Amino acid sequence: MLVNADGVSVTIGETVLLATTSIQAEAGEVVALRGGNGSGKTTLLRVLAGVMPPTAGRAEIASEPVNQSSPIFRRRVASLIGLPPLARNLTLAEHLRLVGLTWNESPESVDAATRKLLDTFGLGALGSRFPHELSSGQTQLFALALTFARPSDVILLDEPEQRLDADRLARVRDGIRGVVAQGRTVVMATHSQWLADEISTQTVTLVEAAAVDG
Amino acid sequence: MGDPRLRAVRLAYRGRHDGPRDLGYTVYVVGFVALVAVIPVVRLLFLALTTPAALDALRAADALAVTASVSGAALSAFAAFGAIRGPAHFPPFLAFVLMESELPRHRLLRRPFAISTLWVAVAAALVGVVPGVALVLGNEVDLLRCVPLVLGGAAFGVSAGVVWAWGQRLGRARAWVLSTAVGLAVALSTAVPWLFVATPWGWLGMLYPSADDPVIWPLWALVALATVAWATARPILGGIAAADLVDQSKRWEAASSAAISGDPSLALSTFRPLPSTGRTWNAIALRAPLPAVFWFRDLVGACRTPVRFTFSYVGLVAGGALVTVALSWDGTGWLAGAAGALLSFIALGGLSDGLRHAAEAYAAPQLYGLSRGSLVRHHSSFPLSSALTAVLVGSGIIVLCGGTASGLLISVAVAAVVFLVRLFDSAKGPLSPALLSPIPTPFGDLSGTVVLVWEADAALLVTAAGALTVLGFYAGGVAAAAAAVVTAFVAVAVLGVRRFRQL
Repeated sequence: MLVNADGVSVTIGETVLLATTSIQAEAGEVVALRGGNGSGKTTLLRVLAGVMPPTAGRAEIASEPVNQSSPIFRRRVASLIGLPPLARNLTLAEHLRLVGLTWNESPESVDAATRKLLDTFGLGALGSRFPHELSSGQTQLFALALTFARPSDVILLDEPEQRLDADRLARVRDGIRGVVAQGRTVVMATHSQWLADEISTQTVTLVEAAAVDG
Repeated sequence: MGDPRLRAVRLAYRGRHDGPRDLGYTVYVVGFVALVAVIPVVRLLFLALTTPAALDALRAADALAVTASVSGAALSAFAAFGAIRGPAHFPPFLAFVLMESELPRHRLLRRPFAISTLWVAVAAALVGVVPGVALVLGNEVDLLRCVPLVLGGAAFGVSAGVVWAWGQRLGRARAWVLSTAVGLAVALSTAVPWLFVATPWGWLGMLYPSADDPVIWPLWALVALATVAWATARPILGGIAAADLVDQSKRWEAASSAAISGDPSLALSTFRPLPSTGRTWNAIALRAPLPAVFWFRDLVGACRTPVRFTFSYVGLVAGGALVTVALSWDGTGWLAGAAGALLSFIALGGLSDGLRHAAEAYAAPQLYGLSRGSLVRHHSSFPLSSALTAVLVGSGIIVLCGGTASGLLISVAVAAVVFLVRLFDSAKGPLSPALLSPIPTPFGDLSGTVVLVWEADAALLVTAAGALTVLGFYAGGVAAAAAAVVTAFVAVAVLGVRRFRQL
């Protein structure tokens, strides 16, 4: 099992951020996390990304406990939970090239991957723009491209549909399909029924934490 | 009198507070701050200025040139500052409502402009009071001899207010041209002092109180200039773009909120210029070794804000020169050492975007295929090498002009500490709530002081390092200076490691 969250829950004091939840996914699957605001979708992604420890239960990636301090874990998991750090003085294409280079990819493959990612997300004409010159929707698409630019086995996405119109949402779908075709697993929190229907292999609906308590 | 609609809007905006203003509390706070902070500082200042050494400095032959150069530099700074925060300033909402109306802009803006200019004029006059009173108390000159400098200061302040408005009108893209032009004129007149007679800052310098026969014509020249400058304010204010004013107002409010809430990094980032040039330059050298890729990427990134890049290098050169000059002085020369270190620190900020990005990436989910420490190391190479080489150039110029040769070594060592403090500062997160715990004392809650120290910690560290290194040199030569630098280096390294671990 590539992704395994077994009975995980998160509470802070008396507040339940994530009610007891389990998900499992194999390589090449897309898990859509659904549920209302405050149901714990982002919290579950944080647990899987290793930035928030679960109060109870077990979270594993490739049968290893999630552990942000492990280089192997960090190599396996890419996540987009909030905007990634953007360099104000690099263009979009340069961001993607630099990320690729640091993962020991060859100059040729870095260049090809950069062009492909920009085209996939409809940013081909914006490669020489700086991040502050993008609209909010373009920034979201670029954040996705940047997350996909680095190698990983598992990709965690928090509401990839944010600020996007229907045309751009189709690009997100195509981008996710592209990485899934490479054998990567995607776990995404989404409010878009359309996106979930289009690409998910399983849907997990989280119940609002307060309702569980009650 | 203003437009009735304008008055109505102002009244409505002022009346937005639900309850009565707490005037008593305001009076209490102002009175208490004056009693506890302002009066002792002013007393200390005058005691320091009336010492024989200070009086010697105040009546020195080059007091005219110093007054002229400093006031000219202030004029240049006002031009630059106008692009960040001009004298015609409203809160964002009021700026939006008023600037979108059909009321003439010069009429909308003249009141805030006049108030800001009045403050500058009063402050400039008060600055003139300081040396004057010290010289009078030291029985160096008569009281009447000080009056022209104070009045000239006020007139110069009015002209400075108008230059400030010019900076606002020109905006971020062009104000630096005016600022640089004034700065170059000041530098030229300082190098060729007879030019002072043709410059406003020179006129102010000529009013400096001395035992010689006073010259009064520069005062009339300054008053005439202020009058003419004031008359030109109308078209300047009328030309300020609504979008620029609203943008400046929003940015200033966001920065103020961030600073007050204990997030100085966010506050400063609001004012960092964004790149708009060099988008076609290739910042990523795909076939170079990774350390070179990062060094080159940071260099190209910095060059994309060319004015900032230039000022950063000039500031580093000047910082290195100041530290080296300080070693040849004695007495209060440590102030130059502190100023040199602080100037280098501020200048290095313009070359440290990569470092700040590394610190940001350090705390975020992994994006780069490098360990976090490795990413910080790679991004350190450009600012560190820039600081060391530029400071070496500045120090070398002073050594070639007869300065202390060991200044080369000491200024480079101070630059290394300055870099380390930059690294430490790049990892600064938001204010810890623990620092807001009340600290009750007979003078009230001092938690505000702790917050201020926390916000200015990097500046305080470099200032102390610069001052202590120079003082160490006075006391025990290169060995003592080296001991001071090493102590500062170790202290900042320990604090820095701790801060990165908390990210």
